[in-house]
Amino acid sequence: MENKIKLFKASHFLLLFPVLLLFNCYEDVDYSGYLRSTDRVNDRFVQSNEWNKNHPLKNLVVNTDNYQVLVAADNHIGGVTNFKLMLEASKKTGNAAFVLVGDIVTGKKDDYLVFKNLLPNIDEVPYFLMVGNHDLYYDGWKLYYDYFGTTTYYFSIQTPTAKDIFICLDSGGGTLGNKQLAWLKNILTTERDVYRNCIVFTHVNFFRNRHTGSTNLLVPEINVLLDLFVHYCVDMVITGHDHIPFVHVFGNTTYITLAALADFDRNASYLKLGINEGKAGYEFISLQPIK
Amino acid sequence: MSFSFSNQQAVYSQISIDNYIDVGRNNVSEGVYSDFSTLILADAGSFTVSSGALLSFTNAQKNIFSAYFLSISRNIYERNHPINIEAFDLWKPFSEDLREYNFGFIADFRTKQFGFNLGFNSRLYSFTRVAKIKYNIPDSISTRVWVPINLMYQLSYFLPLNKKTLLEVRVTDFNTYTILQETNPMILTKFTYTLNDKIQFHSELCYMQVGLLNIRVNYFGYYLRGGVLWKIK
Repeated sequence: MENKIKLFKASHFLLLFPVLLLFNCYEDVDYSGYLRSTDRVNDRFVQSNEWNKNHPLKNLVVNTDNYQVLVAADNHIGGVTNFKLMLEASKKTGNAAFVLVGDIVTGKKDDYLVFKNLLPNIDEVPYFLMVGNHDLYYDGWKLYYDYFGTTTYYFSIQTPTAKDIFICLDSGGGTLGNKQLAWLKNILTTERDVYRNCIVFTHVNFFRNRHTGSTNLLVPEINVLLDLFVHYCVDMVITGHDHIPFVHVFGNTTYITLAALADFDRNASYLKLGINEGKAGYEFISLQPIK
Repeated sequence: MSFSFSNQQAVYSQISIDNYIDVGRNNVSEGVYSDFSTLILADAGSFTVSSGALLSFTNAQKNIFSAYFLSISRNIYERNHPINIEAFDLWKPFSEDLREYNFGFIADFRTKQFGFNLGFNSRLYSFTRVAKIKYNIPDSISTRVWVPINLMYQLSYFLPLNKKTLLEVRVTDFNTYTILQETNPMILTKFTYTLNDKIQFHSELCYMQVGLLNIRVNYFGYYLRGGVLWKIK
């Protein structure tokens, strides 16, 4: 009897592992990631930086002081219905560009190709991309790099009276890594004063609002970034990853976690980031209102 | 935090002092960092009060005084097994302008070979008063972010190597002055050498990773700890 009790207790712990595995039970999860990563954030940063050297950073010029940038996260293509809706909206007057803050695809080549074929001419509708964790599954970084190049960079938008900076960071591996962090510090130190608004985009959300298997940057890294964003007056930090929208105002910085744009998400939405009268504001655009 | 040794705490003594030094490196430390900690544990019947402070030396942080810890714990017995229940506060002035404040509860249960800790903490980020003025933040704007609840856990396996030396392998999301998110476990091994009934030496090697559950495991950092626990009778 005692042995049976011991066996029963042991089985509880053995059950723990598959329960953890099923914690995020999507069919598109690359389970090999539980044991290893095929690429490292420092390597991706070096490659991105190399790509940036050969491709001049974009400076978009708009002829009005008020403009918008559409921002979406977690498309998880496969499905393309919601992405097409956002794409149509991005072509309307007043939208300077659109930004996808990671988990654009599942990491599989077929989905990368579907996405690539849907993208508009970048000179007609400027767009900016960065990787999320799902984009890196199945050795997805190689495909991302082949098709789109960099995942760590910045771009700017010039209005008749001022210039705003938009910094895109790679947190697809759950950390920025020391090289990318040093680059970010350098950009903020040398460039921040030149620009009016500073917006940071990255995939992984900073604050956990609920119990979820969705992983975040480690607390020591979050602390460093919070301090950096306060010190350099970053206006907005826009992330995805959690699929549930949330807004935290922390001093002069607003941290926005976007809902997923994926077709399978019942509350799919994207963000209209508006610069009006020099200040950054936002509006969630719901695609499928909650019933 | 004193959780890890609350079982070995001064059953025989009234006051214990635990000093240790960490040397480590991680993605945000800008090179090697070192931490110095002193923890004082005082017994009063079945209650133990612990208080500690951490000094950090790193290129990445100006504040040398980087954490203060206070806890009160009590041993209760369930079927002859002691269970240690602890309430704690952890205050971290991690930058000139910002503070991290944690509070929570944790229970600690140990058998001969296994140790289990389970609890939760709540985390609050806030600006200092000086920083609010420095950055011209009006009262109408929030200067606090509350991360409501985080699961804390620790699973330990103990292997006595001889009468004086104990090896421990541990998976946990907290350690001393750091509480990570529930999805970011770290792995560590710890050696404890009991010199006599007053002095214990301990050392541990900790590996920190990110992205276990739904990202992909990636390296974050490590630290090596060496310390001594002195039981003052």
